[in-house]
Amino acid sequence: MKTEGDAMRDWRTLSLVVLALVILIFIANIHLEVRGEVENVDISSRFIHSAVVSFIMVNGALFLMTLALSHKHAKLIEQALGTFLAAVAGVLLFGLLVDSGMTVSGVATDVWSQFSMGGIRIMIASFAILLAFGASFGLLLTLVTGREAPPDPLLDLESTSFENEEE
Amino acid sequence: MLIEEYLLTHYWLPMFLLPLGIGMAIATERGRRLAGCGLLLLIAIAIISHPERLDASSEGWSLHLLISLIGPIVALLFGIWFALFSGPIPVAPMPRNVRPFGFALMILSLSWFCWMLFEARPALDGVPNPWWQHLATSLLTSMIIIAGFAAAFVLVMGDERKKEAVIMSILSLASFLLLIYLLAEGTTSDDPVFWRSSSWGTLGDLGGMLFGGGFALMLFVTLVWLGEKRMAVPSEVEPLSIDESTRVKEILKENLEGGA
Repeated sequence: MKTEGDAMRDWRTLSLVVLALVILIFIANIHLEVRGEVENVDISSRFIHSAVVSFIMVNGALFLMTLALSHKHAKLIEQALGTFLAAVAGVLLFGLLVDSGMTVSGVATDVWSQFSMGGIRIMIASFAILLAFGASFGLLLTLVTGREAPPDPLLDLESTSFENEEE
Repeated sequence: MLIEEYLLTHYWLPMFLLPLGIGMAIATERGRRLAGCGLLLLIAIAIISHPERLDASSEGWSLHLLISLIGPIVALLFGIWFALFSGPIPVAPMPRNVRPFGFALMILSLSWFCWMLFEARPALDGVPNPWWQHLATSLLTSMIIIAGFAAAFVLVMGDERKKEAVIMSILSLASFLLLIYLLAEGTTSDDPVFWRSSSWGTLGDLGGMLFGGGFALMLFVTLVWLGEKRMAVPSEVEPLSIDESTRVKEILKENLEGGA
């Protein structure tokens, strides 16, 4: 039986695997960028825009889900108002960022164009993550449940004949 | 720049209302569930009845991308469904000879995607879809991490799962090699420079999504915690009256005698 320490160790191992893979992808990208030319992407602007737009979208979605699933014991003041205000704060921060000149290249520099492009990019990336998750874990589930196991003798027993089957 | 009215009514508003529709559709009350299903139907109709050509806007192109991928996605979903439920499982089993067909559908889905990647980039009247590279690099990057995680997961948490771990590792490694090939060699329609730029941008996007989305979720957990913390201490429960304790004793006696 696994103890709490074992579970911690297991999750630490899994986190390290994910971290190693992320570093591997970054190294591959850097290596290939050094080898050949690359368009100016400005990864830091993309990161910041993406973080703020994701923050707005997740808070907005949580706000709407809270409203949709509200019940008499729900903490509406804290959850709904909190997520709504957080989304509004995110919108204001995004407007401030764009007005201060931190824009993503290849898109018109007004706030709506920058936001809509960021939003579509995030929705497509979320769709890709969902697809990768479904494909990987769907295949894994298929493989895991495909293993043949010896038939369980308990399945042969009938509920009325327990005493007769006893040895 | 002012937003086009049709984009607001046929793209952004339906996208905005989607969480509300999903939330209502999974609610416990029947009335709310029905309203949620109705809202989801309206959202679908609003998006399908997009009044302009899909190549007229970036939003339209994103819908075009989704339509282009319907074939491989349907093949994948049906493949998983057939292979999963025709295996040795006691729940809703299908005939066992359907299982190879399920795996064949999964391979068809993968081949279809690779064909689109190398030979037939989604396009409309000869104009290539501008979101394709973003989706392909996001998918491959996510697949490397998720399949790699799944391989480590079955190895660490499972019992005698080496075969499954090897298959998931192969999936992760194959995605990595495919991504590297695209970054180094490109495809017939796209120079590697564009793939490298797309991959860099995707890394920024995925990192930002992880950070911003994770921060929003942590904030939500904190809000729930604050709500629970502010809850008043429940008042003390009154002791049972004589009638109530007599009734409880009766029930206990009845059940204890019956069980003996």
